[in-house]
Amino acid sequence: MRHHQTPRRFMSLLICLFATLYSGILLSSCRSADSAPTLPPSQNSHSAPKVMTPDWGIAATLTGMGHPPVAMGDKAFYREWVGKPAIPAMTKDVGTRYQPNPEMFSQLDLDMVIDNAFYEHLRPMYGDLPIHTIALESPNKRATWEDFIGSTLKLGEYIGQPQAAKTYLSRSKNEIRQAGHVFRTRYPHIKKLAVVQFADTNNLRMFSYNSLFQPALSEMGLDLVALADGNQWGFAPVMLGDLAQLDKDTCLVVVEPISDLLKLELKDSLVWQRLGYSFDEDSQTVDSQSVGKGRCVTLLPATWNNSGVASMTVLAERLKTVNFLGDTDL
Amino acid sequence: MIIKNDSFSYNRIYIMVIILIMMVTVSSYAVVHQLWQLSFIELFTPSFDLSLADMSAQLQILPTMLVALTAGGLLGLVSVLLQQLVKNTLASDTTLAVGSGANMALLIVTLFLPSLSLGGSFWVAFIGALSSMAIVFILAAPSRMNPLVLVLGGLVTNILLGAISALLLIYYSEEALNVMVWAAGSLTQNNWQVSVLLTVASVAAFISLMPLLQPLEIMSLDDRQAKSLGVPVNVIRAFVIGLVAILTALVVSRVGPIGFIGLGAATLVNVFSVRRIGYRLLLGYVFGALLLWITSNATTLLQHYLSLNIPADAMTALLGAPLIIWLIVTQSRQHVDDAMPSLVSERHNVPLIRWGIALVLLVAAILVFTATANGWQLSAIWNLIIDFRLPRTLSAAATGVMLATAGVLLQTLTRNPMASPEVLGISSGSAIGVVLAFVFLPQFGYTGIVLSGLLGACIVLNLILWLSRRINPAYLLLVGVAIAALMGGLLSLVKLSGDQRLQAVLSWLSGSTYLANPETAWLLVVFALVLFLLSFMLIKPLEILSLGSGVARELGVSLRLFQSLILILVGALSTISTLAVGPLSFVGLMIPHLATTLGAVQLKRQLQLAAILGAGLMVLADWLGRYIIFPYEIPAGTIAAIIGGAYFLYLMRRIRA
Repeated sequence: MRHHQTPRRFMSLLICLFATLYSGILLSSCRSADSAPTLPPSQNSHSAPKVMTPDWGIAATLTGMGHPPVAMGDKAFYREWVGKPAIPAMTKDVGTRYQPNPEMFSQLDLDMVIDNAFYEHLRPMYGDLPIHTIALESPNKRATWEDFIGSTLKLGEYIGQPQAAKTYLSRSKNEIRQAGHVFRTRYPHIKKLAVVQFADTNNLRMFSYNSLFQPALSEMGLDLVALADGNQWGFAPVMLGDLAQLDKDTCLVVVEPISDLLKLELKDSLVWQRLGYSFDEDSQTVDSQSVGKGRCVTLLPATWNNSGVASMTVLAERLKTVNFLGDTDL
Repeated sequence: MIIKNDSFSYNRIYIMVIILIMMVTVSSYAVVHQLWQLSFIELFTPSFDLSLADMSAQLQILPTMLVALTAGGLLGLVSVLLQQLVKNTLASDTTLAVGSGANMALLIVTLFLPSLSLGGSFWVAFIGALSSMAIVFILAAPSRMNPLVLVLGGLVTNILLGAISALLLIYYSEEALNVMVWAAGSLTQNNWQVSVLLTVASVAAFISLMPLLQPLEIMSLDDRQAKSLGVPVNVIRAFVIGLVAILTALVVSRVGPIGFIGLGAATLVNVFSVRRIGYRLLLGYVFGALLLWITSNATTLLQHYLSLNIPADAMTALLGAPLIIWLIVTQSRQHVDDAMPSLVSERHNVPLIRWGIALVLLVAAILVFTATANGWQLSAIWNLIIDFRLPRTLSAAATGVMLATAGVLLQTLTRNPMASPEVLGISSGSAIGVVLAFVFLPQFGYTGIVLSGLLGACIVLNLILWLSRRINPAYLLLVGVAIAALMGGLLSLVKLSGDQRLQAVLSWLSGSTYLANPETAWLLVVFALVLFLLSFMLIKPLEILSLGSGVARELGVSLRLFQSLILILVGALSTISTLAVGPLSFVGLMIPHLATTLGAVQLKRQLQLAAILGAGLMVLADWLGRYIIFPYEIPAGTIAAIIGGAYFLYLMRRIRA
């Protein structure tokens, strides 16, 4: 008998609940429709258009020019993977980059979308909004600073601020050269850098000559060393043991994020021990295999490698302050 | 287990072992040939006497192979022990969720207690392995460890834990980096520590099992008899469970989650009908060791040629799943008409109209109460509802109806309460078809994809039906698990290939209604209604069919015709819902039971109520998934699996044999 009752009573309760809720909504719906467009009016003084971009690189460059987008993709993870320049709090997050939330961005007051070819599949979602497309990467096997001038200027034109783009370019170039100067004063003997990122304990990505590290380092007066040509994202997959092929006078730059677990595993890796690198300042001299200090290495805070000039500036600024461990008197 | 001619089966064992050893030899030769530059003897020089490059190669060869061998052996040993313990040929570290429990514990500790730096800790994995085993055993206790219930408990626990960890990884993706590194399950070694540890563990395990062989042998016959012979049954059982947890935790924490090797090894042992427990354990170890060794070599070679970093877990699924399917198919000799366990339920009136009204009100409420750019609020903006909310809600509802209908049809047709498109691998088959069409037949576009998906579903359906007349229903579930694992392996390879088009397939198959738009949503609703009505018209013949073929023939029902009709219907339902939200959801398995426990015992009523409940669950799951972490999203399939899985585990306590 009790069995008989429970589902019925539960269901009647449900119906009552929803009925109440629904009538409440009907009553209030008129009012909420009025307050629909939700974003506060744009606070950019130069009346730049309100831009949305799914891409981190475009968002970073726009912010660098002083005209941050009103909405961008994956803002929540930008801090960890790109970091600088910091995106202001008023910029809205529209969800993942590859699949942003159309329900979210259709509630925003927007003037245009700027994207690149990677986000082609999203274009039907933008409705009537004008869409501009730029490519913030070098088409050449060996990237140069000049490869990025055109696209950055174009970005300035899209938001009606060509002067801001020009200023941004010259300021950035200046900053990178300045950073190079500081670096060479701090570490006069370091000339060659190899840049890697760990996928796991055995597999690494080595950034190659078509990556942004090439033009950034060359503007800083340094040389990038890579063991192979890069793929379309600018890196070549290498094994940990391959690092043995690097010359003694090449310093290793490990791009974060690198997890604590991975650091522990590396410590136990015979290959890593033999290579003579160590992230641990104490163990530098303890290592019995190498005579004196370990090899020259540093950890570089996460740097997004696909953001054109913005990435290069951040990269240079971080290299300027980074501390190398091991033997730097090469 | 059938007792067969011993000399015959021993001969077959020798042949099988020899074939496996030959495969190991050939693949190992290929690996050494690829990676090792010096002479073969020099492979065994102490690591530090080699140059750095040579040492790196040596570590990729020797300790890696040793780890594969010992880890595989231990998993095989564990599975044979588990099977001995619960007298169930489906038990293994994978099917009883021992590995996924260990995995889950490590995930939770890494995410929430990173300061303890316990990531990869053995003790955490050990506690996780013990807890998930306890859950599964507690679930199966009321049915007196019925084999089907036990494996179903493990299966549901696996899916539930998988969905929870997927959810945690979405929710805490910033911290997830730590986990991802370790969860890849890479066998490649860069020192000797793990290989030495696992070798010592193997020796210790065998030594500690020596004195237990006699009592285990007696226990395998009958507990009561064993007790009267003075065997401390409970002490031995506790010891074995402890040992299983220790060994599994050791492998999971040091190497990562590796599925299917244990089950494959134990199934091989069963196929050869070895009776002596000592030999069974030894053979389980040998088969497990050889299987993972071959897998490891194949992975190394593929990695070398494709320069892709392939996780061992994907590889064991790709190689192990076909092996298990093959073993089951070749084993299909006897049909055992076991008493099927079923949920206790009473029949009473079902107020369908009220349930219908409740569903409509739920949909209406969900359409207007959402998270927005300004936080949670009642927002009845017409554009937003028509363009975004309604299409996705309708797609979710249509999928729910289709999956629930397919579940009812399948469970009635196969007379197996655990049947459903997801569990039997029909959805996975259709997903495999979709992925293959995307890779190999892109020129046929959308039609090609749909047809290929339908073909995949129908192949699996036919295999399942063919098998269902030949093998124990419990084995059917195993085939489904294997097909699902095959799909998982295939998807992780797709993920690794980094191809943009395939990334789109992945997000398509992740169980989300993201791609729903106003046109496809209404199309889906029409499909769902038409297929539901067709199913409704097939109720009479289905009821007769479910009585058994003999009765059906006497009543003059054209058996084959209706069976094929129902099959095509189930195939269409599974394919369309898979295309809409992906293969991972729980609706088809769970909703038919929920309908029965609510009083819809009669087939007609069950079908109607299941459709309403299925729609309701999917709509709710979709809504939660879209707005909990707005503007980010959690796939509806993940949420449905968590809600459904938890509820199903609760229901399972009521299953009686």
